[in-house]
Amino acid sequence: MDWVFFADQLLSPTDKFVKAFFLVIYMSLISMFFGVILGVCFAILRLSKNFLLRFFSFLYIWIFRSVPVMVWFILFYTGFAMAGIFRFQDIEILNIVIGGNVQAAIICLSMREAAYMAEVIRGGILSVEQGQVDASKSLGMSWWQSMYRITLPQSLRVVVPPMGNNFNIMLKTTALASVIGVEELFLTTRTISAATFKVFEMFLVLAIAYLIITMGWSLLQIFMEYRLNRHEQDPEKSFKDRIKTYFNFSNNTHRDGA
Amino acid sequence: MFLSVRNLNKYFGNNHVLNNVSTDLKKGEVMSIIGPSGSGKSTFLKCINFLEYPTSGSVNLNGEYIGFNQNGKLMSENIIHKQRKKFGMVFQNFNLFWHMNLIENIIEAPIRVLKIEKNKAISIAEDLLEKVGLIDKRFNFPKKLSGGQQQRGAIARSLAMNPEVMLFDEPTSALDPETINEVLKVIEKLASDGMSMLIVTHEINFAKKISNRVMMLDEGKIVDDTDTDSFFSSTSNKRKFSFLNQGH
Repeated sequence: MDWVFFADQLLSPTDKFVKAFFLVIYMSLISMFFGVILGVCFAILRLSKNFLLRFFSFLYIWIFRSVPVMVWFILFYTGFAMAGIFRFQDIEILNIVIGGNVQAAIICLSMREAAYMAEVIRGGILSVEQGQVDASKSLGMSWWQSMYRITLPQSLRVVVPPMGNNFNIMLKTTALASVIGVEELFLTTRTISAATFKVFEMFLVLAIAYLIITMGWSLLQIFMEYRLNRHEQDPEKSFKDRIKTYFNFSNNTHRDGA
Repeated sequence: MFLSVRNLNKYFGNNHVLNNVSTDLKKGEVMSIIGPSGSGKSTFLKCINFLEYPTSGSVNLNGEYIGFNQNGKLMSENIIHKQRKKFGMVFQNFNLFWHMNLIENIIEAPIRVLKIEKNKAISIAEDLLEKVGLIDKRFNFPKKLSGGQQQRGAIARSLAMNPEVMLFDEPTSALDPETINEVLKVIEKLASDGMSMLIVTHEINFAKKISNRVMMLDEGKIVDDTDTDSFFSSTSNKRKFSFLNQGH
């Protein structure tokens, strides 16, 4: 074990590694963003009165949860190009070049996420009491108003914890994009370790890098849940006192429901 | 007639929940609807504002057909959504939106549905909260309010839409005996202000005191529907007599 090499790579990582680090974050965030939006759509379709819409959503969820995302990567990127259907081109946005393979990876990750999020959001929507919907309807709110002002916000309480789960999984799934040559953390680490033969040290650094990313997400989720529990909090207490309960890792404010 | 309901029928599968129910309400009148559990009282209320679609029949408010047009054809969902705001509805379980504080609960629909400006909606809401005695609770979330306070808040919320008729679906059934009165007082005040109301209730004494008319339903059929005095003085109907004399 070469501790000096390890410390060096951890404290002053190469530019390539730093780039890969941020690539993982932005790939995950973009995929999650589209995944959630599409997920809401598919959840709503899945609960539609129309059989065809319900069936379409069921089919989508079934297909995208069944086939491994690695297969999608190769089908979309390599497969499409080889079959002459579509070739992803590099594009440049704000001086950042987004590689064709990165785009393909984001699309695949988003579509897979949509399938998983659709089920999570469907569960959230079903958890909302009928009385809340009846009340909004009785006030003359339209289907859509009642959906995005009442049902969806109320479903967040149930949706956010599994969504955190999904995002955590997503961060690590980006490693699979290495099969289409996306230079994310895993591929970069492998390249460096192959060149230096410091496999143990490099992969330890990689593990720590993933820990740092997920810690960032965990903090974000704590603040999201804090915000969502606005209705449970004592407005007299200071922000510091209120947020404290969320850092003792045993907050059970949801236990007695609404 | 202000509100007229004709031959309302509702089936849940093979279950005939409402059987040819017809009634009329004059403007400013209060009608209480009583009857045993499962008699279709709540369904009747929900069929009036089409929260539940009746199977057949007609509802007419102030000359406008609600839900079904005059040929008995179901209108589009869009129109029904818009028509619902003419009816204020108060539920047994209050159903205040738990993710919003009291004032947000009240201004939500006026802003979204009536497109009232936010400041104006807030001042309307504050007037209503004053009226129901909750002005000092305006920033509280429903969870931090007692049942009686939640119900008074829910009444204020439906009044903010300036409804033509108020529908009360067992407004005091989920409350303890001590807080029932604070809600009944608010309803009484509304009645004396001339609001037209339909009230499904188990509080026979309250019904006697507040209503101009009383209707009794049993197994989806009207047992009796007449003015309050004659409802309680005539005892010829066996079903009504046994219902009223079981210790209420």
